[in-house]
Amino acid sequence: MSLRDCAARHGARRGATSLKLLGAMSLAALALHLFPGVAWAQDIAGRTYGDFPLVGGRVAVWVAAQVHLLFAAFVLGVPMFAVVAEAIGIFGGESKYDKLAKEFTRLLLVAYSATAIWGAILSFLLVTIFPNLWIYLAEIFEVSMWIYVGLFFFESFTLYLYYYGWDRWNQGRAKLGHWTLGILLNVWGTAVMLIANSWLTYMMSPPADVGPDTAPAMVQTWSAFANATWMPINIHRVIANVVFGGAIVGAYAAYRFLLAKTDEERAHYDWMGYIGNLIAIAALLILPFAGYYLGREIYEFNQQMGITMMGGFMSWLWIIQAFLIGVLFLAGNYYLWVGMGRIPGAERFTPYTKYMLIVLIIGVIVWATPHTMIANREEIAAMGGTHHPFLGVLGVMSAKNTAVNIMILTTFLSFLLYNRANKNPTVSWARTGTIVQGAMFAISALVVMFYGVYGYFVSAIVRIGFSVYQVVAVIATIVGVVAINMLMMRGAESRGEIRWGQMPPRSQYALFILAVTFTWLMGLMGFARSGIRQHWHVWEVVRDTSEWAATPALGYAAVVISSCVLIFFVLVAFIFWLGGLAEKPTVSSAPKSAPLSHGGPELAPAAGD
Amino acid sequence: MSSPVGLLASFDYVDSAVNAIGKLRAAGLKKITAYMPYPEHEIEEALQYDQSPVRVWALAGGLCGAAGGFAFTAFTSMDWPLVTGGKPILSIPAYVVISFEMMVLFGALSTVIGLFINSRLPYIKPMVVYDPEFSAGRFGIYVTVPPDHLDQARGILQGQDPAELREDPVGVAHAESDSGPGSGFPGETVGVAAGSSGFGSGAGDLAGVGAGSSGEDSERKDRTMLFENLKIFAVVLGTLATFTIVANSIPQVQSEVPAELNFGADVSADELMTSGEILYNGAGGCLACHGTGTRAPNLLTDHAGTGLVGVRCANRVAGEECKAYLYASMVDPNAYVVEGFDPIMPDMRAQLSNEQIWAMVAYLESVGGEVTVTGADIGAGDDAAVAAAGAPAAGGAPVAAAGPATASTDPVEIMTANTCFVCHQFEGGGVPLGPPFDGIGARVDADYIRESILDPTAAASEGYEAMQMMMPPIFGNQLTASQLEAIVQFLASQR
Repeated sequence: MSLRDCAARHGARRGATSLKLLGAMSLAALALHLFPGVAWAQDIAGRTYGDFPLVGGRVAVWVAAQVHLLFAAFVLGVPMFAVVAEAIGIFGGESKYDKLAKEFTRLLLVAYSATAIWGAILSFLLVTIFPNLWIYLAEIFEVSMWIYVGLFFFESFTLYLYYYGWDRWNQGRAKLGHWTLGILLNVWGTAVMLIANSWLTYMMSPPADVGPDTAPAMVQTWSAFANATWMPINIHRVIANVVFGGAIVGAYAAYRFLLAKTDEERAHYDWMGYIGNLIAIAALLILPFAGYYLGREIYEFNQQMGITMMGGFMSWLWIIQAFLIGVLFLAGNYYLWVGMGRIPGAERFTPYTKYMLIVLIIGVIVWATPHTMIANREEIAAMGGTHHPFLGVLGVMSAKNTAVNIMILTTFLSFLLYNRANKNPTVSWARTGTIVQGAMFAISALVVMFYGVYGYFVSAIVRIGFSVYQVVAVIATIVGVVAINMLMMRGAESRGEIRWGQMPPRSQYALFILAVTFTWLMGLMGFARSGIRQHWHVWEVVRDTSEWAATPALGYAAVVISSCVLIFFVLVAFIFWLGGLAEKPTVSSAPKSAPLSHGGPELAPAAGD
Repeated sequence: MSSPVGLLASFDYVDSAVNAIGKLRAAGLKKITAYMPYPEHEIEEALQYDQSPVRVWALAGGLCGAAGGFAFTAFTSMDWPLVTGGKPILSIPAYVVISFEMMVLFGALSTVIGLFINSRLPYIKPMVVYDPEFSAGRFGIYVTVPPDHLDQARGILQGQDPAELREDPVGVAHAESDSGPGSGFPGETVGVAAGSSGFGSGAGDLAGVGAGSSGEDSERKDRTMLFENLKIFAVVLGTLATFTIVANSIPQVQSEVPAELNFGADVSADELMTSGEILYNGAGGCLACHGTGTRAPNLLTDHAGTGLVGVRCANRVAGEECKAYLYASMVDPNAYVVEGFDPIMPDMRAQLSNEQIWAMVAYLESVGGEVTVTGADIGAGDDAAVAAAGAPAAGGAPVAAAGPATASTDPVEIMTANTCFVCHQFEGGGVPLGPPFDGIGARVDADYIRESILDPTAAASEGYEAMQMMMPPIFGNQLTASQLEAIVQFLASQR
């Protein structure tokens, strides 16, 4: 049996049962080992594709991959959260963090199953719709696929031990051992992610010595594994998973807050939502730097691919991205501003929020201004030049870098005001410290503005270098202000306890918008990463000759992304509902007059926990 | 205690709230804010507010609109008088419709503006008193009282059997309520959400009142939960819909797959050129760099005074044919990096077949020049073509353009041969990158046209300033004197 025949059979059996598919895969694997020297270029030229009813093969695989990835991000991001929260509970002595960690982990159990189900769906769709690509990748990565399955096994059982052992190993060394299980869970999960990342990044950036005529058996495994974009994607995804985990936890907390029956529940989930939002926004602030690193590596690997991504047919994608990130900034800040309503003493900062809102809106407008777009002669004529006569000025990187850095500074200022709202510093140098902090903000903003304006008077290559100075100024300000704040707030007087739970419902909808926007953004960036391969399964190695080879426009992609996000959230809602259905009471029905703890609700021991 | 104190009472029945307001006012306590789940006129009457001033805005806006509409139509009739059917210029019945529509428009707009101004909106700062129950079925009364009247006010409110009565020791609600929303429509604060005041507990306390006491409460809670779930679902759907609509409202660009090309030995120049143009503007991906002119030279316009690509290709490397230069630029791009640009051009053989590359060469030749690619070139293979290109010269400084593109003295033929219609519209054809030739004689004189051809930077036509640099300054060398004059006189006669 030739490989081509084998692949054709795979394509033709798209309606077959899983058992038959497994049999066919086994035969394919056997054939690969018996005939390793087959000329691949010939097979690729003659391969066939499967199909999928109604939506077609591409959309079927796209949806399966995207939903699988969203759940995978969830089950990788939330354990990070859980382990850190448990550590704070152990070493900080605050039991509420331990309960928070356990609540996260309970969500993981069902989410983990959903991840595995969608992974299986994706695998079977790939086998049936893109059989030759599957066989090609399987021969290169077969060893890593086996390791992947093994790690998945370890990860599953570590998760079960972690959750079900929570109450059994909750004291002394046993608790530390339990915490170690949580760390191990993250290690397995991260290793699984690194392996899967190697497969998809190989499709983007195969080693330079691999061409259309290179037999997969001749591709060096490690060279394919550690390809040019593997590590940038790894770093980007780890940070993005933290952001995503925070956002989903925030949405969960918002859901439970809105449906809470008691003040204690409301206080608990208000606090949880705040923590989720804090983590998500904090990690979001460093995500762009990982994105720059990934982008730079894509350019280093192949200029054409980089230009296609940033200035080619995908150039408008970045305008949509700017719009989404604008929504994230606005929703995140809005949540903080509304939250200040439950902090005694925050009213003295309230008048400033409208100015911060204005700054953010201006920043979003500048950031979302199109600049270098591909245009044919008719479009150039309609625009009056290769660049827009007015918007072209705002659209250049000088203006955009300035806008985004000012937005980051403004968001950080929101966090700072929120943090200081109910505190009254008692150190003798408090006034000086505040003045220094204010000066750092002002100097940082001036540096950002100066290089933003100066950028218009220098060449592009010099202008690109200015962004480094701007970022350094902002990061230095964040680090410096946080350091001063920590010292200054030691022994600070309290203006009153935060009234957890006294949040208007509209603030919780901001958390939902954050979660949906993060998820949509992940879908969009997934489309960008995958779409820049254009009509190649493996860039310049395996050509896509299917009827879906053309990479669709953004409008089409947006419909698919929205569908994926909707599927994901419907399933997540089901998981949330299950979480509430199966939970033992974690919040006591304490009397209403029970005092609330400093910084968060003190929860009574849960019955049966 | 010297500062005023706030009292918040929550009532299940509107009558209780109305009675409480009446008695508070009778006791001289006038700083009262009422919260209602829906507009309730009895409470408005109890608060003794005057009629809404917004209606004055509506009246004024409507009158202004009607007067403006009449003035507008009358002025336009008089400014451009057209006698219709022997009627007078100022035919008032015809203006009624416009005046009426303007009255409605201005009346509606001024009503909205009046509503905002009288309500002091937008009011970004959160209100200090808030209870979601006020949007769910209960009536709230918030009153600010001097400390010495506190007991009296509390007694009045207690007398109406409130579901909840709480005290705000700061009394800030009414301290700001004079300038806050509700001053214009104090009773209609339906759905206004707010922060919290100095109460020991806020929304949750009231939400818990009477919980579980009856099946009715249970049903109400179920409905509330269902409503909350629906609201969450609506927020998620609304967010997704917004993103999808935004993504569909921008220009839609699809990355096409390059069409497979198979040319015979007798392939025509037109066939090659057409295939190449489709590739260049689509699946070839050329526009990403060559379309903007910032990452790579723009191949559809002039570059640094060297003319269009079909002209300048022959002058880039001494002794090398245009097509050989263009082909080599695509398969060995680093050999010919134009000064001022980075070597970012990829070897196009990784993406395109030999036929596709030659089709693009043919198209680029056609932009300002003559297509010389033949089936023999394609059949010769890429090695032969590269060899034909010879040793590349670095840089490739601009040289003077070649001689006349045609020997004809017919102005249209001359302009066609020199690709003028690529950028100038004429008799319905062309793309308006430059001023259209139709009627150009009515706008400028022959001297201006002559100067613009010989020195395009001398003056720019109004509205085409940004395009000025696209006009190549090569025609002084490329046209004979008689050809130049033929074009100038021909264009000057276009009126």
